[in-house]
Amino acid sequence: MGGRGSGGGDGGRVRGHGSGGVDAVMSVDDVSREASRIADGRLPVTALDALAGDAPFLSIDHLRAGYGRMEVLHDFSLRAGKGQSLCLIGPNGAGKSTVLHSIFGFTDIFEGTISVGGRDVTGLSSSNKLASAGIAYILQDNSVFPDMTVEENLWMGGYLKAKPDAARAAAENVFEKYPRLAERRRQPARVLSGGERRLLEISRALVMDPEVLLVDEPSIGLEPRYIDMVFEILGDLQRKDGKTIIMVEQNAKKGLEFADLGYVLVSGDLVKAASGDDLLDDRDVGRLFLGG
Amino acid sequence: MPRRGWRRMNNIELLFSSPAIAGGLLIDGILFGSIFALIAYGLALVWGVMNIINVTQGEFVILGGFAAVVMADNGFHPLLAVPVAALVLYVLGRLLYRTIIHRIVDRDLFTSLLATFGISIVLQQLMNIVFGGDPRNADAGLGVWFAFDYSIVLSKVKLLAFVLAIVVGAALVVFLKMSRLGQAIRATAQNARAARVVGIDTNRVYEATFALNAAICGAAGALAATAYTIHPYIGLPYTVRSFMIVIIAGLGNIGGVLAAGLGLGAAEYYAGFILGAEFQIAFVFGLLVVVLLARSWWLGRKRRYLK
Ligand SMILES: Nc1ncnc2c1ncn2[C@@H]1O[C@H](COP(=O)(O)OP(=O)(O)OP(=O)(O)O)[C@@H](O)[C@H]1O
Ligand SMILES: [Mg+2]
Repeated sequence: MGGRGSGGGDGGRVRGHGSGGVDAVMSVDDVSREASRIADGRLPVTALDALAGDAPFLSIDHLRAGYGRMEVLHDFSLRAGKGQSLCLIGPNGAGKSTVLHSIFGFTDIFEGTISVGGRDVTGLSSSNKLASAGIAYILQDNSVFPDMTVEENLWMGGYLKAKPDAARAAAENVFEKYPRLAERRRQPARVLSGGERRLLEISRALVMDPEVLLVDEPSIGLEPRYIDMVFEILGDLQRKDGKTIIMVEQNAKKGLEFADLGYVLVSGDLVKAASGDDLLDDRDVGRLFLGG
Repeated sequence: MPRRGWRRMNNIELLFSSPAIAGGLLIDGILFGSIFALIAYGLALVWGVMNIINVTQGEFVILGGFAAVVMADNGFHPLLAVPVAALVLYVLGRLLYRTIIHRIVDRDLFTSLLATFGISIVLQQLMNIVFGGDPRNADAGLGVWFAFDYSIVLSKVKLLAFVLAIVVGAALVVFLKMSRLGQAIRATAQNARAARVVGIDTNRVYEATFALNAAICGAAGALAATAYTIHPYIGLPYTVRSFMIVIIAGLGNIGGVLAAGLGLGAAEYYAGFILGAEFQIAFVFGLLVVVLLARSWWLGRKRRYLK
């Protein structure tokens, strides 16, 4: 089994430089152990429905999924209404990215269903998810094509369009939206700044005009000024263009402030689900994920 | 061995005193080197896209060569064998991918080296059984050109092989830049996960890449067999040459691959002339050691810089 990704559980206490241990910082294991205790009992799917305004657009039902034979998500359900944003938080290795992977068709699904707009998309391949189910994925790590120009990167975003001309036309629409990117269209993507790169990754996902955006850790590795820019862009996409956004965010405060809904995931189980604002005020969430 | 040493001295002197001989060797070497460049380009493709160092390059080449030999034996013009060999090897490449290679993409380099080494041994033995172990050549019967008052002799078939090698290389560059599959191949090489996210079926890309490389090697082999002799066990030097060229030129540097290929061809011809033709292959392997040592020294120096 190719154990890629960042595995949790190499635990122990985090130590700083010099002699003293950094006792104030909880290790991944501690957070997981603590977090599994904060569960609100069983979360009925009806409660999730209510959060999504009883009009779910994206639904995950009793999903068991993982990689190879390893099961990462156990009986996971999710509901998001059209044009809603939902943020998944939880410790490292909890399976947050795996939720997005599963929606996009990157995992092995053992049981359960995923549907968008009433259509069952559980078994679709990734390319069909993108081409016909209107789901686009923005990866956690750096995912531009470094030796292609900005323009070529966007064209690649339209790879699944039947005609290259259609991809180019769609790319032009995206350029109109983000003049900052258009200025750099002929430069290779590798010379972009971190913020521009993230903008390019988001833009590339828009070329196929998806309805659902899966966004993995939009703020990771970015300078603070770019973080605000990225959340602004995502906010625009949600409010102006009506995109449904499912996001994973390490920076739980930013993520929950942004999102309508917040889900807390621990070791592959959903332990809390509430509106983003309610989770921000939640004592346990504050202690474990918001730093006090 | 005083006499042999004496002969080498004489050969070096001869090179300096006769520009015709030196020039002739240079031309012959460059013509041969163009074939190396093609094979190296295929290797760089597979290496860059799939992270596999394909040890089977040489056997693919020799198989392509035998296609030309068989066609020549049956009265066809051996250069017709270039597309035929490419096609045969393309099919073989896809077969190998589906049976074996797909299991080793994403594995460590050691696994893929071992697997492709195994395939190359099997192919050698099969060729030996089917075609026999004798050195063969696909005679195109094109004759030679004389230039500069007969002081330089140009084999027409070598010249044609050179031109075709350049044409195939150029076509490949255009294909990678312009075609949809070419774009998918480049995207996968640059970031496989991102390629999957934009809807590229990377498994298909890997299969196409591996088969494309086999086809390139087949074409190169058919060209080689018209001008040089082949036998089932002479694949390895081609593998080593292409490996060396890629090490020198780097992945994704087409101009560099061409230059290194032509340079290696010329170096081999000079070495063969000075040391005796029987040492030409020994020279190739010796040069590999030098290149690898130089490379590890160079990388070691860079590492020290970083610290
Ligand atoms: N491609 C993969 N193949 C095999 N196992 C994987 C793969 N990706 C993730 N895993 C494993 O699945 C588990 C959940 O990982 P996941 O990436 O979903 O966690 P996460 O909550 O996103 O963590 P992080 O905050 O570190 O990104 C981990 O144990 C991880 O090692
Ligand atoms: Mg993750």
